[in-house]
Amino acid sequence: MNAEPSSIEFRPPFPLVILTGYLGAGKTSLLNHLLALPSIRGRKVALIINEFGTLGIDGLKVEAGVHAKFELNRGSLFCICIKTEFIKTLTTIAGEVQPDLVLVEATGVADPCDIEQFLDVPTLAGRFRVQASVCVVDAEGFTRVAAFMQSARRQAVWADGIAINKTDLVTPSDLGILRHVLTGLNPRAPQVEVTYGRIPDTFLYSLVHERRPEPASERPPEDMVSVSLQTHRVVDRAAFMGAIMSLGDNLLRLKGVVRFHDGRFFVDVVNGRVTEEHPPAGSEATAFVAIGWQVSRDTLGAAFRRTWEVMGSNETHEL
Amino acid sequence: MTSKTRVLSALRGEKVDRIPWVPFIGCHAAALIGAKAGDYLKSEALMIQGLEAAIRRYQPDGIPAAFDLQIEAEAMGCKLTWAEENPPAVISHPLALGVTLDRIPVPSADAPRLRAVLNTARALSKAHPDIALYGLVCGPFTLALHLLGTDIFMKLFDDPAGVKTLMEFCTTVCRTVAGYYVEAGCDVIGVVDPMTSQIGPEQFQEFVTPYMKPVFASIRRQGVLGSFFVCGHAQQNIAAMCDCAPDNISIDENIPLDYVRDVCVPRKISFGGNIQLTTVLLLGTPEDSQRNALACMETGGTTGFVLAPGCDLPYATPPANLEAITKLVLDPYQRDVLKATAVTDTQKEVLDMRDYGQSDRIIVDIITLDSEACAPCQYMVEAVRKVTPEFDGVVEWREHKIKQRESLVFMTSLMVRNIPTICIDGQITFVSRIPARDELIAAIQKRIVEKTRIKIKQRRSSLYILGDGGTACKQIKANATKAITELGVDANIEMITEPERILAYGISPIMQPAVVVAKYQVKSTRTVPEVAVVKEWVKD
Repeated sequence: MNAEPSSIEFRPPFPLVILTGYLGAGKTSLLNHLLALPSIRGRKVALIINEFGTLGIDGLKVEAGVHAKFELNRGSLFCICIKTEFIKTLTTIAGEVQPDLVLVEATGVADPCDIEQFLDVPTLAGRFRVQASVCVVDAEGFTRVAAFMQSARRQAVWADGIAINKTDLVTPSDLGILRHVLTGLNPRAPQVEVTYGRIPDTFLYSLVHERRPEPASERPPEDMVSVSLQTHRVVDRAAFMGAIMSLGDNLLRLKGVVRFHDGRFFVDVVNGRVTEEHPPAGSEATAFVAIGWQVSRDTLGAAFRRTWEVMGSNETHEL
Repeated sequence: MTSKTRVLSALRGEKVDRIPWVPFIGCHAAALIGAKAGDYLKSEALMIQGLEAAIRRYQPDGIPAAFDLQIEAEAMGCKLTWAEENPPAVISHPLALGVTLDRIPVPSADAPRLRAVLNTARALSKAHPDIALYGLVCGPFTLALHLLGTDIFMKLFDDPAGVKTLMEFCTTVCRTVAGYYVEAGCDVIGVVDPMTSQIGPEQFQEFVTPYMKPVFASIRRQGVLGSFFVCGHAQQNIAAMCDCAPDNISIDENIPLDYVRDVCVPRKISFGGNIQLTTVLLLGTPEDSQRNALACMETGGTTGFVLAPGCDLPYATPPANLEAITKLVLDPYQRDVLKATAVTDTQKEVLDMRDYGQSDRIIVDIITLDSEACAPCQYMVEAVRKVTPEFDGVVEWREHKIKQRESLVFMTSLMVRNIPTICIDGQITFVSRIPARDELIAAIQKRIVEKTRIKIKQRRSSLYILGDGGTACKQIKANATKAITELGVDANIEMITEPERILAYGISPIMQPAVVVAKYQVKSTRTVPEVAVVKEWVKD
């Protein structure tokens, strides 16, 4: 650690951009896009690829010799183990690479606030500055994943900017609802709609990093909830559709098998649009999952339970 | 009480003679014998050698046979990538590659790496019958994630029934492997399921609890105890973890230990873990390690608590840090000394810093861990050292190493929270950031200007215009008034036209119009100044 004082270069901290987003959201294409931007291409970029269980760097079109690449997936899986590797890698980058920019692709299960805390350890303090944390959100899949996966939610909550990717795969109205949901999670972060991760560099450079306090320790905000419901009773179709209607924006998604009086159906609801298909073979029982937004689990569950309780008979029982 | 009975009693929630110490040693043991993690975790001989070394050095009450959550996954067809200083990582998920669940085998006790760990456990339990031996199995949710990849989170919505079938299977694996460890002589089975930290309590209750409960029941039926290990931000699930009825819950530094205690103890479940792995054990000093361990011990107490790190110890953890904890655990005197110094620290003498930085010089204070041992601290000190000569004696700098008590008091008094920090005249100026040369110079110059302005403001003066009071004198008065207003200084202007008064200033008619400025400074009020003090004033 002890360099000769005469050989020490004084320099401002290295800027660091954190890319978050769960697996499949499109981080790799966004990273490829960033590396090809004229404002980044000529610069000395250190890349930290930190993907949980994927093939890491292989998917990246990184020009040989231009960037220093570091993979963190060699042996480190979980939060705290990653921390050791991450600190080691950044120490190497600061000492040997001295890049113009550090790009960190966080694992899909990483908490961005953890990454920021890692930068606080005495050996790294002052050597890196988070320029921005950008969360890539998959327009089609976000509400599906975020209801279940803590880090998917937290990455959106902690971002300085949100890139809504794959917008070509959804309708404008779905996009509108998603933007609304994201604003609810993180009112501070500007959003940009993109396809193939192509965010404009003006968006990236306009972001202002703000370090926010520790996450609420005990529970995440109940912005998104999921409820899993099963019953052997027959479900009243009109009441069921009525429940979907009356929940309106509070119901983001619903999926599963429902047994109505006219038979079993595979029901898929996305932002109020209902599609019904023939169900896969299997149990006769009704079993589905609903994802709600700004509604309590109890209210969400009760809205649907009522739709079979009206039809309930004494011979059947609820699971 | 032997080490083993101490651990088992604590795990059962009973009072013990002293808190048991269970360092979770995995690939760190490889470092102790100079082996690479990859070689170590494949070799029975190296694992035995490494653990023997760890037992000699750390005198643990309990120790795991190995810490590698990829053993089962590898035996079930996941590909691994190996590292020198870490356990391996899973890089392929068979279920995501089209392999069906019915083609994935439950690992046999003869799978090469499992066999190596089981033999290690056998050898250790024979050689150290008094130490509690932990067998660590990969928890079902983490194993499901190894097999399926992160698609599992999407499937919680898209195919919950499929996830449940997978969990059922992983639970069978978990129970089977736990059985192998019990047979090999392990006294405690740790079910390590870190990925459950990713889901909320509702999903936990639906996708984990029904599967985990029978695992712990089966562990108990085999006459051993079960501990539920989790790491990461899993605070939301601690109560749900308790519902799985383990004997013990072990957590890392992301969850406050007192929170876990308060959830577990009323449910008659013991708890442990929490010593900080990276910041303290890997990067800290022996004293940091002792302080952190002591804090855990104070929270944990001697009933139902196991002192342990949050997770698998990093390969390169300095042995001195762990040895320091061993000393603390074994020696009540060390604990008392540490407690006493901790008490003084909490009393926090705070100095009155209101008048700090009011002298003529500019004082630059650098608060560091120790510039000889911490690179950023060193760079910060160097940055200041290089810049100060430019100011030719006007700027004075000092380093305050917070390892020294008085420096710690100084740091607290200036309300500095981060290391390293530069304060200029007592004002926090650069926090955890080494300023560029120009930036530092600018900050010092800014303070010099500020001080000068304050000084000017404290001075009072009178400006006398001596003359006939004609046009020239009036013009001078106008200019002087403008100058005083622009400077914002406290000065009064007086026009003197009486010839005899003008002469008293030594100004003859031919020298008029003239301007005389008299400056005076308030030196003392409501006191009788000492002669020595007055001499200093007059010399000034």
